[in-house]
Amino acid sequence: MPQISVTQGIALAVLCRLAAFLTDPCGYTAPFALGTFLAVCSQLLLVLLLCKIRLPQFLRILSGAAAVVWAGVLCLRLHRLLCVLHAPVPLVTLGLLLVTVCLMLRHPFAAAARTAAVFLMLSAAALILLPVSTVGTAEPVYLHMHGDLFGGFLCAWAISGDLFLLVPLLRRTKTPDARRILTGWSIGCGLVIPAVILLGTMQNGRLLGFGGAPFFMLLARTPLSDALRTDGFWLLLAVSLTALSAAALVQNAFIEMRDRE
Amino acid sequence: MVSGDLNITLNAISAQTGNPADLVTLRLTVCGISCALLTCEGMVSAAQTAEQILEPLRQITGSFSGGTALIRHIRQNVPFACDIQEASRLSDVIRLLFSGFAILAVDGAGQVLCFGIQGYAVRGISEPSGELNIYGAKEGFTEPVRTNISLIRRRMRSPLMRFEMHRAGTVSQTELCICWLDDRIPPDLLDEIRRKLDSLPLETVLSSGYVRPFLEQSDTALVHSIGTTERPDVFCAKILEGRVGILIDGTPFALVIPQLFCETFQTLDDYNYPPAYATLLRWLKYAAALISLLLPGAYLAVALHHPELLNETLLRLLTDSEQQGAFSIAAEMLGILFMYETVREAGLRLPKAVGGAVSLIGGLLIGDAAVQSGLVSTPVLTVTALSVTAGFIIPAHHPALTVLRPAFVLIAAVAGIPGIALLLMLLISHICGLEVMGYPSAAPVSPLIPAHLREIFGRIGFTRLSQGNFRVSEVRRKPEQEG
Repeated sequence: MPQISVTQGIALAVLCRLAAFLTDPCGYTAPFALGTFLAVCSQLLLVLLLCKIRLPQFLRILSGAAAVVWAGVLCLRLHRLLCVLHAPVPLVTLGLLLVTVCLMLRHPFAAAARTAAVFLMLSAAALILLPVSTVGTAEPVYLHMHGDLFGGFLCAWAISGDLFLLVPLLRRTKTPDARRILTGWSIGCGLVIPAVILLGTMQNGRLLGFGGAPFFMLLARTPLSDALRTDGFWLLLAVSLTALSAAALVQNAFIEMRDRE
Repeated sequence: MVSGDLNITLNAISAQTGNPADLVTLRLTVCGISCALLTCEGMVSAAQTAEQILEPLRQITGSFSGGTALIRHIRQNVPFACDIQEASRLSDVIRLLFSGFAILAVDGAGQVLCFGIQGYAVRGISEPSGELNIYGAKEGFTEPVRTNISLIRRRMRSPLMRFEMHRAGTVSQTELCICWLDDRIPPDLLDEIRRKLDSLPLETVLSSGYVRPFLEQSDTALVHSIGTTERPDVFCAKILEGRVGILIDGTPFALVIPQLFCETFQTLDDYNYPPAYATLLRWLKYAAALISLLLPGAYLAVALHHPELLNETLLRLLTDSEQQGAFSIAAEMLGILFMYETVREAGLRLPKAVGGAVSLIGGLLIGDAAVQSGLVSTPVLTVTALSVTAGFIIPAHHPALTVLRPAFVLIAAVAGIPGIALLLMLLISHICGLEVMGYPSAAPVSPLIPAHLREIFGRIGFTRLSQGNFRVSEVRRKPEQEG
């Protein structure tokens, strides 16, 4: 049964959520961010519960199947995002995405885990640069806008397919490491993503009206994007993370179904 | 086995070797006993044969009961300056004979004496052609493995330095020398290498490229997880980090196991420059690798599919120049890449005098004539030139870059930036999945080893470098879990 390090575990779980977040048409308001935070808190409780109890075999198989389905959903969400962003030939890209995922499935699970660690570093660096680039244009007044707390809560649950990856990972990881992975995942999903939503809220209130992923609109309006816009990088990241998450979800599902307790 | 009868022994050797043209047999008598000195022409030094074997034999006096007694006397009482071995198996005798030993067969003895007086013509030690350094030593490995061992020994006088000879190639019987430092080598790594070398399914080993695929995890990988070097100083530095080196007779390229991906961006000169400058150079190499790999594809993706990513000035510049081109940008880009590779390959394979002319004509043709005729637009040419020039900074990745560059161009033409992202993802996953004998190539980035990340982001000073000497065993994948 392949085991991975704490960093790699955190990376896999957080990036799977980030992939879903980047392709999600969620709203950007302070209540929405709070709703997201509360959803992650409730998910944390669920994960703790699922790690404590012994799951019957059919539930584990069901969880594996759900992970594969979520991988497919992620691919379709990316396709939708590409359509909204008027990316070239989204259907061809979807086909290439599936080919990439299939090729990545030929690599060992450790390869996906290591790749995730590399992308976690890249994403972290990019997310650090994000607030720096928005310093001059952020308007805290937008934080007082009305928003849908419950909508944020539901939205965070709707993109929580990473739990199908996280729970099996934690169940086969030694306790101290599992605790660290869970802490890292909680910080990544419960604090960083709501913080990005808050940043987006302060950045531009008009994001609410955007039909696609507001994250890209947020980036398009930052000062750094004047000369050569940064959307390209984030689009690269969204596509890469979708491929990586889909491959990791499928591989993990196969491992889970193969290695029976 | 060697027979007690000299004639039978000589006939057996003659029969087994097919009496080749370069086999020289000199019959002589020592103290009344018939002997024969067998040598391989061109493999031994004639002066040394006369000086170190024939002259001492001539001076032997006394009477001996038989060949065995004579051989015992020679071994015990006659001082020789060369390496002497006894052999009783015919296969060993033939192997030593064709390795440049002089064989003294004595009538009545069941064994022969082999004198190591190799004297074949070899290329002298010269500066490595492929790994030039400004401040490093100007000595590079040469073809004979023994010379290369001496180059290492001169730099590593520690009694812990080990050299172990192996043979590979059922026909060529090529000598391989495994080198390591005994106090820092993971024993299982050494055992694994020995096992793999001893089971090489090869008839001959003509270069390091013959051996490397059998030691690596996959022989189709784009990036090697086993390094090569022509420099004894680099080789010693790697050995000091607990790696295993393999010298192969007949090639100046030594193998180093394992090699981490990040090391391909480091050179010996980095440790001669001030840390700030070396750090800058390191980042320059990372940027060059990205430019070399992605620039043509990214240009194509932006020009064809994402012109909105450019500001007005850049867009206008691009549109103006592309309007003058005769072909599509993708066709232009692939054509220029093809032309460049053709000119490069021609310049490389042709005799030096002609090769230079080919490069010159190719440069003129691509650089000037193609643009002036309108076949190629200037931005495409500039982007390609930048990309291939940047690739020269990291010669270790030249084959991979050559393969991947057109692949990125094609996928960018089809699917734009998302296509590039997917191929890049696949490439990173491929590199992260590489490992050799349990050592992941992507370490210390992934698996993450924070203490060694500093050498990735910059070159630290020698004071700090000496405090935490890097050992390659630290990046080893643990059987159960990665660190």
